[in-house]
Parts: sequence; C-alpha cells; structure tokens
Amino acid sequence: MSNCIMCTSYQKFYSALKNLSDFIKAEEFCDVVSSIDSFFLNLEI
Amino acid sequence: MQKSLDSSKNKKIYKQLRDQYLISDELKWLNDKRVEVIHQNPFKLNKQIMVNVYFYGNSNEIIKHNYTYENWENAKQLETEIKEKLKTFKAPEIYLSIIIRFTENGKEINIIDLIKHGVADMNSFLTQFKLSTNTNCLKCENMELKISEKIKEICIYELCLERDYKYIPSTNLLEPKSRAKMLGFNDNNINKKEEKVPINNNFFQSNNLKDMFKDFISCHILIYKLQKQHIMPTMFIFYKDKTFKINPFLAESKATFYRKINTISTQIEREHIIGIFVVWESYVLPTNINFNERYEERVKHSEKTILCFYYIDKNLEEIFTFVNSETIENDIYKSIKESDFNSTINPHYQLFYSIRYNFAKTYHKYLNLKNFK
Repeated sequence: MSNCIMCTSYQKFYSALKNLSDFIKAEEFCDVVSSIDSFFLNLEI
Repeated sequence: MQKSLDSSKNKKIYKQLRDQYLISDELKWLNDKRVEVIHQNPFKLNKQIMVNVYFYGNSNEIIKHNYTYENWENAKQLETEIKEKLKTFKAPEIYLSIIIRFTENGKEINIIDLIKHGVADMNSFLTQFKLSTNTNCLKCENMELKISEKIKEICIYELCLERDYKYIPSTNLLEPKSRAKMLGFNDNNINKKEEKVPINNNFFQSNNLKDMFKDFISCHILIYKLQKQHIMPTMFIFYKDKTFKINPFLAESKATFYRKINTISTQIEREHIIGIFVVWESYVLPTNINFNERYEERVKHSEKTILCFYYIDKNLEEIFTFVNSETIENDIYKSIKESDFNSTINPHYQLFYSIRYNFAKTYHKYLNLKNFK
C-alpha cells in the first residue's frame, strides 16, 4: 500500500501523542496521588 | 506536509486551514516546550502539591509544596507530613483533597487544558484537510483510530491531578472518593469548542443574568421532576465574552463540592468570569443538630431535602433559591434575601465564600478584603 500525502503527517502526529503520553507518565503526574492512596489504605494514626 | 503538497489547490487549502487551526496560543506553547526539550534546556515546569482540608464555612490549605524536576523525589515524604497534620484536627470527619498544579515562571498554568486544546487543534486541522482534499486512505483511517485512543488516554490523566478523601478519626478510616470526568468527545475528535457556548441560544429567553437564572431554575426543576429525585450538582459559568460553560460533577463526597467551588473561584479573574449559577440537592437539618456527630448520623435527623439554587454576579449580587423537593409542584421561585438568613441558608452562604471573595477581589478592588465574609 503506497503512502498518500497525509500518511506522514498522521504518523508524525501519532508519534507526538505517544511521546506526550510517555512524557506525562514519566513526569509522574499521578505517582504521588496513587502512592498517597495506598498510604491511606494502610493508615495507622 | 507542506513540502509534499503537489498542487496549488492543496497548498491553498493547507494555508487556509493552517491559519484557522495552527496559530493558537496552545499550539505555540506545545511547540515551545518541544523546542526546549529538544535543546535540553533546563525544565522550567514546576509542580505544586497542595493538601486542602475543608471545614464548615472554610477551607484550609494545610500543605503546599513546590517541586521541580530535580527535587521531585522529596514529594515521597509528603505521606508522613499529611499523617502528622491530620492528627492535629478534632472533628467527627475530615474532608480533604490532594491537588497537583503546575507553574511556569511562577505563574500557574493548566497543563491538561493546554495539551487538550493544542491536540484538538492539530486533530481538527488534519481531519479538515483530509475532507477538503478528498483524501481516501486506509492507512490514514487506521492511524486516526490509534490517534483517537491516544487522545482519550491523555485526557484521562486529568483525573490523576485531583483526589478527594474523607477521613474518620474515630475509626481511623480514610476513604478515597471515586473520580469522574465529563469528556467532550465528538466521534474521534475532542470537541473543545463544545465546552463554551454562546449565551444567545434557545436555552435562555434573555441576555440578562438574573432572567437567565430563572431559566436555569425552571430547567433543573423540570429535570428533577422527570427524574423523581437526585440531581447532579451543576455549575453554569458565564464569561465576559458572552459565552457560558456547563460544569456538572459527581459529588460523592463533600470534599468534591468544596474543591469544585474553590477551583472555580481561582479562575474568576484569569478567565473573566462575570457570573456563576449552581444547583445541588441538600438535606435540611434541625437547628439544634449536634455537629459533633458524623455526617451519616446527622442526616438521619433530616426532615426533608431541598433543591438549592445559587446565583452570584460580578456586582456581588447573590440569590439563594430553595425548593422543597416534597412540594416541588407549588414551591417555585422563592428567593430568599440576606435579611431572611436562617439556619438553612447560613451553611450554604459560607460554602460560597471563596467565590464571593474572588469576585470582590477581581471587580471591587476598592473593598477592604481583610474582614470580608
């Protein structure tokens, strides 16, 4: 299957989104909240 | 793409759509970040972690820390700090939220909104270009599906930035509350424009905020009657540019309600908000209620539930309207003024302190806010 004029653009956009998603994960957006969640579930005050 | 275009017609379409979709502030921000990262500049995006504890009539930020990429590991010590702070509160239950915000050069930025809007612009550009040039390609269609999935995945991360909890000291129990988010998807695209709607539409009979509030009440009473009971707490937020946004939310915990009110209050100045309507359902408790009892115990003494409507505008005019859910057929538009304040209104009046304060701070700079109530 040959490439159309948009194939490269779609591929690049997908790669950018994948990088963005990986970046968000790597930046530990959620890590603190999820670790606090687990901390609270085992809370002993 | 520009380099691969072979016809002048396609080049013209490209330029038109580029000017329509690709010159937004959000895309510029995303592109700037990309350039910074590629050139390995120091990362200037800072994280701020806040722990807010809510009490009757106010909310206290008990912890606020700034983290950069370099000292992020220190955030792990936050658990111990929260534990120590919670020990100091004496209350039958404690509602709290943990919130992550981002700042850049000392200024708060809504990173998820920037990403969401930038991605939506780029996605719209590609979709419109494909339609305008009649491009029909199976490979692109497959890629569109993968893109759609990835966009949803990215938008879901927003839920990780805020979490509400209820802590019961007597049982040593802390419940993380469930999270929900309305996502504005339209087929495979994020429909970001759906979020803000012009006020000139069939929903409102007039452009006057107070008249619109009556439409807001009528509409929700109708929904409430049709559903027989239970209504999702919802905010209508009005902007200076004659648009409004509908913000319904799942309030499984009081903390979620308080957090939503606090969040919207911080947007008043930045986003040029001129008015806010809120609807929610509430228990009516006897005046002699014992506030040392837990919430679950207190509501057992409830005599009835009411549908509550709140109005505030930039002139600091406020209206509370309460509709008895048992006599909803007859009890409509009963506005209560400040002079009528009683035990029913007072808790609700306190609830909106942060909104009232931020409207005053934004539009009434001459006011002395030191003793503002």
